[in-house]
Amino acid sequence: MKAFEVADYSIEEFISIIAAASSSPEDKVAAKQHINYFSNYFAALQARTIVVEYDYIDHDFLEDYAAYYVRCFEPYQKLTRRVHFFTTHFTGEDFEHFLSKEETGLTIDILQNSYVGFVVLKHLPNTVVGRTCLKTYGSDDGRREFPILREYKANLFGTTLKIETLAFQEQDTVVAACATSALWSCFQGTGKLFQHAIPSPVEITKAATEHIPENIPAVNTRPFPNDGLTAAQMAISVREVGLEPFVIGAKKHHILKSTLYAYLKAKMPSILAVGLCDEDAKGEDILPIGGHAIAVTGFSLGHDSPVPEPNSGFLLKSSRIDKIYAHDDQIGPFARMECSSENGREFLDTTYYSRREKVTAEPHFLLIPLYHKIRIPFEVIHDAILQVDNLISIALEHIGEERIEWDIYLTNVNDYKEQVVKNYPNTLIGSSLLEQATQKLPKFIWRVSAYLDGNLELDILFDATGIAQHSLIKNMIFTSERLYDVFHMFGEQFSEHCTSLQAKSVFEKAVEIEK
Amino acid sequence: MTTRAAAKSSRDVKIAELSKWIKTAEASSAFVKAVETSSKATQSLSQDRSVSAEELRMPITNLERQFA
Repeated sequence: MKAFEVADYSIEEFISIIAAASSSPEDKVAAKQHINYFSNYFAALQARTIVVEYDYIDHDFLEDYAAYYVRCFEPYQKLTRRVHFFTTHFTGEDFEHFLSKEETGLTIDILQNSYVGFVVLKHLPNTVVGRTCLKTYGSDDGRREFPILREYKANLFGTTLKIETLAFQEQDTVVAACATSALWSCFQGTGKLFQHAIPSPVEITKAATEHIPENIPAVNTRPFPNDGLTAAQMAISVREVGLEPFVIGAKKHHILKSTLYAYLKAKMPSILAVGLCDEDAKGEDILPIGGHAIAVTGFSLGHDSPVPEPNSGFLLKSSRIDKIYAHDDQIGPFARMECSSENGREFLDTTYYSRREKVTAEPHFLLIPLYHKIRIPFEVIHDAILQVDNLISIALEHIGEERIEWDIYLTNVNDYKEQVVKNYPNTLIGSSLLEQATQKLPKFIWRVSAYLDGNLELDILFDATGIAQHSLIKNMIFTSERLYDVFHMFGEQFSEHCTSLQAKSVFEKAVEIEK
Repeated sequence: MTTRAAAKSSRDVKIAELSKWIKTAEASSAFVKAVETSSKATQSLSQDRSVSAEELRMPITNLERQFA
């Protein structure tokens, strides 16, 4: 049998390759949600050529195979097919010449520059989409952000092709349900970031189901075939890789956006648990479908201006998010979900197609796998800055200044110092670039940036590794006098009346800074 | 006077006015109100961030069958 095959890309060709791998009829394959998604995705990425690599050994599937499929009566295959996509056009003959080092127009550079990524196909009846590493959409002038990408290497018959992405795979409904697939994608990011071993789907499910869940009637107690996990079970599997699960309710869009943004900027993906609903055309008849888990991998800052938070008018950069991107094992990698609301109901529009009109997702909670040293949660900093903002806005309004737009996110000392060198002006109030670049800071920092007219006016740094009962502020950097005067004046007059310890420490710090 | 110098001068006047105003009862009252508003907002946020025990125990089920 040939080791590979080269074909011109078309979605029909890809359907036929999947059908051959899964021994399923093409119409059944074409009906999968993923096909609709891949069709649009590959069209946007302008894929032109497919290389099918036969008999590929995929580590993750091999683990799943050894744990379950090998003991089935049906002789499922342990080898997979890996399908590579390129934006350049070449033929099987061109590729053979390239591999034989014969004269051909094809070079390593051409292959690398046109490489879109790969999809591993498992020889299973229906759930065939294995490890998938595909290029993301472009950034569209910074609107789209995928902060958690990492490098993957694919060795194609001796040629190493690199791709910046985060791996995705479909649940096989046997060793993995949607929650397992979402966790697996998250661990692809955190494993690289925090240097932990990345478990395969079967290992994640085994760890999660080690203990019998509390609500036995609702959950299948058998780990395999796996019907799904509870939040508690997902949290156990996070602990198993040495990380701490942080859970926060995310039913309101402003909480969902601000929280996932704050952690994604630090390259930490989140699991979002949602309730999927099927709706009729008018959105009047909403049928719940069930719980679902996805891995949030990016966002789009599509709104021209920030949206004020209800009750306080607090303006956050994260409120500019109009869409999130998620690895949804039922759809595909970086699937778009648009933040919408109707009659007070806040939900995400999905790209699922249904027999009725549309499928929406109601966010329930976020589960974020965190390194154990990140002890201060986002809300401590958010709520302190909300109080600072409410107070300082009185002064800004009095002198005819606009309201501050705040950007709050987690970062680490190295990334912050890189930003100091790149973004700070040469002169700072009461400090210097040299002092900022050489200051001692904790490994993880909550960075709070204040913007007026789109200009960075102030940075406040909080220790993310400390204890909330103590002042966490580490530094305050004014890039101009515009906010300095107001903070200094308010600090002297009102700081002792703040009810939030961290808000009070912000004003006290401002008083300490001399021009 | 250059435009930049004029803007600075105007701002200096506003800041001087602000330094007088923040010592007034009106400013204190506005400050107390702002503290109350932020406290109410954070209480409301705290409720919205909570996750019930029931939600945490709910299985995140296998949807593949429903979309197959």
